[in-house]
Amino acid sequence: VRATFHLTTAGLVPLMAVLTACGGGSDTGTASSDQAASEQAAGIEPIEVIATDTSCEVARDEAPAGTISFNVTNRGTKITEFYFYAEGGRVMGEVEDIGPGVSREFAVEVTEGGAYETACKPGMAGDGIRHPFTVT
Amino acid sequence: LGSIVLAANALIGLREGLEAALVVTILIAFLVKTGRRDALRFVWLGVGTAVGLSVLLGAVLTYGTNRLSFTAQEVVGGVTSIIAVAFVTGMIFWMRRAARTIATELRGQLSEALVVGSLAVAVVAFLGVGREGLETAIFFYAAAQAAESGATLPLIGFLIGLTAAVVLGWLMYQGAIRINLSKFFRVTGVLLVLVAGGILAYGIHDLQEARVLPGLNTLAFDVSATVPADSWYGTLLKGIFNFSPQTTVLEAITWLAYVSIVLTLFLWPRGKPATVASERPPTVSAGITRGGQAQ
Repeated sequence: VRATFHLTTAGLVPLMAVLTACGGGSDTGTASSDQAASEQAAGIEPIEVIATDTSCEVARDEAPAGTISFNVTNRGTKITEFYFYAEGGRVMGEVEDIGPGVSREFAVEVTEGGAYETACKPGMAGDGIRHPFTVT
Repeated sequence: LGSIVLAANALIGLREGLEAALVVTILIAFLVKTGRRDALRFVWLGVGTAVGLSVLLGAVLTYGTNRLSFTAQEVVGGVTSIIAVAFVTGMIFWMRRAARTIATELRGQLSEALVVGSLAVAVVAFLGVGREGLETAIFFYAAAQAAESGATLPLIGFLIGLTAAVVLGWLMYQGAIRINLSKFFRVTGVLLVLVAGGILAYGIHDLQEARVLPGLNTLAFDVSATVPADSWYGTLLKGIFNFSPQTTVLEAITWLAYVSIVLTLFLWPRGKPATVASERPPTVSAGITRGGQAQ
């Protein structure tokens, strides 16, 4: 009884975890590869973001609805994070651990036009350096 | 400026590597101290699988066109954390039971318990390394890409940090093999309860970010001014105990509930040797494991 119990739990749970992870990955994977294809067709490049310890320069502050990609480069000395907020402060996407000198790509799916916000968080703390972002 | 860049990226490597180093160290020390060196291959099997899978998935996500959506990423993070907590909790009580069995010298029972444990050993090692493995691999590729375009300091710093985590694990191992078995069980058991409580709170936070659970902005406390997340002590607290300077109410409640219940059960006075046979492990471990998953 004891052996059976342990074998099944030990065997099934990670299996389920792997299945869940793969399922999630391939679902979203298909979705975003479609979008990647349409992005290429429309010629949309990731929006460059230059983050320092005191500033957060987002190259464009407007984009059409769909998948919006950012390429965040940390030119400061502190570890930073980049967030994309909906109205009311809801986090729609984030990328953590952008070490100094590192660039990290990040995409967020926005289906509705409206007013959004971007934020860099040098030092991984506080409300961050925010800028309005419009989705059309 | 160069040394600051090096240090900041080293802190990321240290933070990502510490928890894995701790879990693997405790597993290895446990097996060696109980004369089960033959089971070490299961530890390396779990570690190897986790590293391989992370490196592979990280490459696919970095160089391919596929990206995990934010919600998918947070749900995977949250769910794997909670599964990891279930297994680490199982491991805590498995160690407690094994210690008890060793003490009563019921040899037959001991080998039975440990043979079944081999699979669990591999799974715990896999989850301990794999939980942060994907994030670590993705960061590695980002640093490697920076290195390709001439900025090698982030990559070097990151690798120094990962190495430091392994060295700290090795030092803990050196300490662990010197202390006696009952002290070892007590110390590592308490340590693992705190680690698992932190992983659980982290998983809750991920599910809050994915909006699966509410209350992301309802903070229990915010000590980010006194314990900055990018300080060395903030890194150690985050790396080992998953301590977040900004903790939500739901995270705090979950952490308190888990730690108080599991710690009480773990430290509960052991039964006399004569009662060991009657309170046989199946009920104990089945109840605990289910309890852990229900968290």
